[in-house]
Parts: sequence; C-alpha cells; structure tokens
Amino acid sequence: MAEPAASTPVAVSVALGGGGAKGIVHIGVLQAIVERRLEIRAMVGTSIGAIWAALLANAIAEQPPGPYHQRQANALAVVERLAMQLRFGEYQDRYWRSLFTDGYLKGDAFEKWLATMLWSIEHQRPLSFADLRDRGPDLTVTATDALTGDSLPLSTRTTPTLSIARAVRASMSIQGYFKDTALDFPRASDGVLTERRCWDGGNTGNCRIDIAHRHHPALAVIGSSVTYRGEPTDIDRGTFRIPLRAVRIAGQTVSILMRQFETAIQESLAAEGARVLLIRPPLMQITTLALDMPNEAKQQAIAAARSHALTQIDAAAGILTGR
Amino acid sequence: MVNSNYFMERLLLKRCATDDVEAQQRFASTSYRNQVYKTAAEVNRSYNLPLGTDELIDLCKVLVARIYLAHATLPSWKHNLYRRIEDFVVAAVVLYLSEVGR
Repeated sequence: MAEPAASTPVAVSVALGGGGAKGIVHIGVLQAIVERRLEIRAMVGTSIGAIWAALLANAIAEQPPGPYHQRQANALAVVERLAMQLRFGEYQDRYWRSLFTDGYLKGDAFEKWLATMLWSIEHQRPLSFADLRDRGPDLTVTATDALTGDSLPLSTRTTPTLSIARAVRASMSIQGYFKDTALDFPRASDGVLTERRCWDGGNTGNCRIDIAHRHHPALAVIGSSVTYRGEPTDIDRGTFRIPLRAVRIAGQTVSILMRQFETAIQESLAAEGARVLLIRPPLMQITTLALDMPNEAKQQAIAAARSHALTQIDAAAGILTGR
Repeated sequence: MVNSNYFMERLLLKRCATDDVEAQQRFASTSYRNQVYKTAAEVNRSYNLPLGTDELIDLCKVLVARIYLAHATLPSWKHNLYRRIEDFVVAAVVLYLSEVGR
C-alpha cells in the first residue's frame, strides 16, 4: 500500500485478541500499522491484548504534542521496550492452598505491576478510563461475567472511574488459573453499579472486532488474532495420555468453538459492509504458556508478525481506505 | 529468579545521573518514575496522609535524583529495578516521616 499523504491519514480501530504468551506477536502487527501511518484512534483488548492496548493507549496519551503518527510511533517503542523487559514469571503469586477453590494464581502481583505502569502522578492513584479520555485512543477492555456469561466491555462509556489495571486484570483472569476478579459494572436495566465476578474476556470472544466496529462504525477495523487456526492436535499424545485426556478434550473443544465464533463474527461484519481486516500473524511455535521466553524469541516473533501484517495491510488497502 | 535486565538497568541509571535527557525520558516512560510516585503515595496513605500533595511530589523528585545516583548499588541480580525502587522508596519515605516528626 502506498503510504497515504500526510493530510489524509486513515484512522483505524484495532482489536487485539487473547492468547497468553502468543500475544507478543501483537507488537509486530502494531508496528506494521504504525509503519503504514494508519492512525490508531480506538483499541479493544482482550487478555494479553488488553495489556498491550492499555500500555499503548497510556503511552500515546503521555507523548508530548506533535503529529499523531509520530506520537504513536514513539509510544509503540515504549511498549515494545516494556514487552522485552516483562517476565511474567516474576509476577506469579501462587497460593497452593486455594488451587482447587479459587485459582492457581491470585493475580495481585501482576495488577500491582500494571498499576505502576498505568499510574496517575497527578491524582496519586492508578489511571482510570476517564483519565485517558480524549488524550489518546479510545480504550476498551473486555471481560466476562463469571455468573451470567455476559460480555463486559470496560471503557469510558461503562466504567469511567474503574482503574485500567483492574480492568486488564479482569480481562486476563483465566478461570481456574487466576482467581476471579470482582469489579463494579453498571446493570443493563437501570445503570446502577453492581459487583460482577469476572473471568477472562476471551470466553465471550477472543478478538473483539465486533466491539471495535460497533463503538466506532466510521473507522476501519484491524484485528490481530492468535486464536487457534486449525493446527492438527493429537489429544492422545504423550506419556500421561489417560489422566490428561479429559483436559485436552476440553481444551481442544474450547479452541474449536473460539475459532468458529471468530469466523462467524468476521463473516457477519463483512456481510454488513464493515471495513474489517483480521490479521492472523505467524506464531513461530510460541505456546500460550511460554511466559518467560527469551528476548531473541520475542524479537523473532515480532519481526515475523510485522512482516506478515505489512503484506496483509498492503493487500487490504482498498478495504481500509474504503475506496 | 535472576534479573536478566541488570546491566541495562544499571546503565540506564548511570546515564540518568549524567543528566542524559533521553535516558531520563526512558526512565519516565518505562514507569520507573511511576514506581517512585506510586510507592511514596501508598506509604503516605498508609500513614494517614501526613504529607500534602506538593510536599510528596517534591520528596519524590529528590528520591528520583537519589535513585539516579545509586546506579552502582540499587540494581540487583536478584530483583528487577521496579522491586528495588519500591523497597528503596518505602524505606526513604518512612525515614523522612520519622525525621520530620510526622
């Protein structure tokens, strides 16, 4: 795609999907978006995607005034640096006592790290959605109500005073692995804030291109998804075949459903005439739980994702510009 | 767990101590500065807010400068710089509160 002229930037809404350690590839997709001078005006993040979306939205908001594409390029460099530094293993607050009742990890340690990254010096408290309003991309983080299965889009519209760090923690609270996260969300009937116990946002959609489109119908949508792509998976492999079989069957079933759900959303939006590009970057054999991979592996994955995304963006130039 | 960013953290603080503006921006953008302000605010809150906003911000500015100067001793092989800054700031704010008698 030829780079658009400076006077006619293409504004996009970006949806970053969940997928644990595989989500490092989102950084490569964001690099491609920035390199093509597409302006990220809105972001929807789920789980790991919510972490990068929140960090990028904050970093853009903190940039000094200047051309938007320059601000987002500088901000992305900051996020990439943080992604390289981040070792998820350092924030594993296990509590074995509650392994079978609450979850393997509390999630407090990681929320604390996020609250440091997303801290308001001016207000002496973690940044809320309202603090970022009109200062950078419109940020939405998705979580799932553990009791009702409702999808909870957390943003300035629904939860302006909620700490973004708390919202991201809710979005990544994989059930059984993390303890549930409680937060207040407005009731649909009367708007009164009621406490919801949240699970990972990926339960109600792993890459929410639908929310990205619904919140900003005028913008083109770029999704970066690391959802299962149909790689052959043998559930009967390995030494511990029998004890692990039930877990593997459950895991594979969820993966198949997520993939079908994502495809259905993509087709439905295309039928509506929405301008949507869903990028599925190569994963370079990174697995969901490879949380402490070396920086070389991260860099390779980012580079491969960037290259793949550039090709996809160039091929979809007509869709993105609406011409 | 070993802190694999040890050398990078040490170099960053050393550059900050020599008034390298780019390094100081990086210190701020990667939220090390946030860690100072956040930790100080939390300690102040736990002591029932003896310090006003302006005094706290001034104290944090001094602590940031002290952290730059501690480039040889603050970064550690064992814990990352966020954790080291947190430990340092907790101790420094408590010491300050005891010295000023609040």
